[in-house]
Amino acid sequence: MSGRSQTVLGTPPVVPATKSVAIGERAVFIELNAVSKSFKTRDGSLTLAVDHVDLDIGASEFVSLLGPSGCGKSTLLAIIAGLIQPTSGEARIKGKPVLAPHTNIGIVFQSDLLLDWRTVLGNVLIQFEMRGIRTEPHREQARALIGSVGLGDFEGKYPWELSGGMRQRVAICRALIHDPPLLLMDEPFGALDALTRAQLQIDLQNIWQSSRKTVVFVTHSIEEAVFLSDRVIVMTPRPGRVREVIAIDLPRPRRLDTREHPAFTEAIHRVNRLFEEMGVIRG
Amino acid sequence: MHARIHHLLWTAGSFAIVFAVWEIVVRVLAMPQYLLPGPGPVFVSLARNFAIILSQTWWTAATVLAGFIIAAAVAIPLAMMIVISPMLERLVYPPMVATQSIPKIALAPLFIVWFGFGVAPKVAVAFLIAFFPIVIDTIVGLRSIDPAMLQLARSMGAPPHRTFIKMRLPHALPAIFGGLKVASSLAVVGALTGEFVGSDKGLGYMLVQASGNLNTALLFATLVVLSALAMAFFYLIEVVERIAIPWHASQRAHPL
Repeated sequence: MSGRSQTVLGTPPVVPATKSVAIGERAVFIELNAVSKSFKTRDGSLTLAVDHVDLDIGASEFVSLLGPSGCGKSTLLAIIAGLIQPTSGEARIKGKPVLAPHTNIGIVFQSDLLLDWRTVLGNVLIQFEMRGIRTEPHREQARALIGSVGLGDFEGKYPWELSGGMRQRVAICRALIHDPPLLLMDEPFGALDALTRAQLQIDLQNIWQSSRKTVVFVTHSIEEAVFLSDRVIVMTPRPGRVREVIAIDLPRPRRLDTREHPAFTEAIHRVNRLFEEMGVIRG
Repeated sequence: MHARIHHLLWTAGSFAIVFAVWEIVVRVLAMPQYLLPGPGPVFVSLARNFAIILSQTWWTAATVLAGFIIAAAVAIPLAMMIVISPMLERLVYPPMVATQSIPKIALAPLFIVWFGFGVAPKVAVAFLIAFFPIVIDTIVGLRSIDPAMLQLARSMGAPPHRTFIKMRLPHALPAIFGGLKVASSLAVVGALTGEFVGSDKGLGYMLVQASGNLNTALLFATLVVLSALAMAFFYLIEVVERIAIPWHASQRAHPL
């Protein structure tokens, strides 16, 4: 398979660094073992999207998958969710292979995917309805969650009455209402303006700190990945491989001024250099 | 409320202009009444023949409604099954599209042979002509859901029927109503065609009669009633639509 060969840009050999970077004292929650995924393209040939990814993610860890568009990070997320099966290798959650859609998770996509015909409250409660669970006992809990993200006055509003940031907050509530141990986020703030985005990053961090869920966060924003994560998984352009795993040693809770912290700027520099080496960004 | 009155005034104004232009054209060109009567004689004819026109209108309206309801009742479930089952799609879709290439109007004489001169052949033409846009728009609506939405549903462990009822179907409603509105106008065309070909009742029959007698004023009066009937059907569906999908962009009076 030519996908395994060196890229034309003459990058140095890829170091399989993943598993060697410790995940601290945490128990392993997600394991990716030599996961590869190829897709059939329109002309019938196979494209390798993800190539032999090995990765352990600890319980309660916040991990970002960072890479250029088309590097297979969303594919990786879908494999963890069990929405697609890898071509080879396997994903495990709590030691069990993921062979079908994993339902004890919350997912947030770039598009908020709110149902236009339901109110904010109805959109959060759909999580139970789709599972065939009566919503009545969960109403108060949903109201409290909606209130906690600052939308208390909006629970009866319809999605088209909300701003983009508010809509994505509702989507996050929908992903959290059933209290899953794992939250998967696929560029959730990608469509938001910079100010809203900065606010939602801080809010997400606060949610994570109080709930200690495991979060796998896909983004192509270097700043966002460094700001939010315990570890940033830097991926190569297609076919997606793990280029390097960077532990972010910044105090929590992170605030706006965290971005001025020397460790923050240093981490950004490191990722920039990696992308430059891979030819993703040309200086 | 103010906006609604404003809207009504504009509608009334635009009709007034149409009638004024009509009157002016008739006078300036000195049209003979058997070619183009002015609005005056048309409304006189409408008033004089009101009872008979009304009775014929009920007949045609019932035909249109029957054809339309049967079309919707067959088309919407069929479209759902086509979307759910790829096998059924391969089986049903090609012959359906092929039959649609036949001009439905051309089938009216055949239906008279099959169903006689009663109401059945008219309903059949109305049904056939109204059926296709409902099927197509329902299929498009059901298919246009974001694939990520379906992934989300799967991550919630929802069985397919629940995803269909809670996500796909409501999402498709605006498109389904679009199809129903197109079909409502076409059902009127279908019923009229049936009446043209062989009937002794209905507005189509009145048109043929008035034309044969060179009673152009009555012809125009019938046309006015006919367009009022088609408009009433259309707005009836719009009212139902407004009740069913108040959340859709097309129904919002004041977007924020």
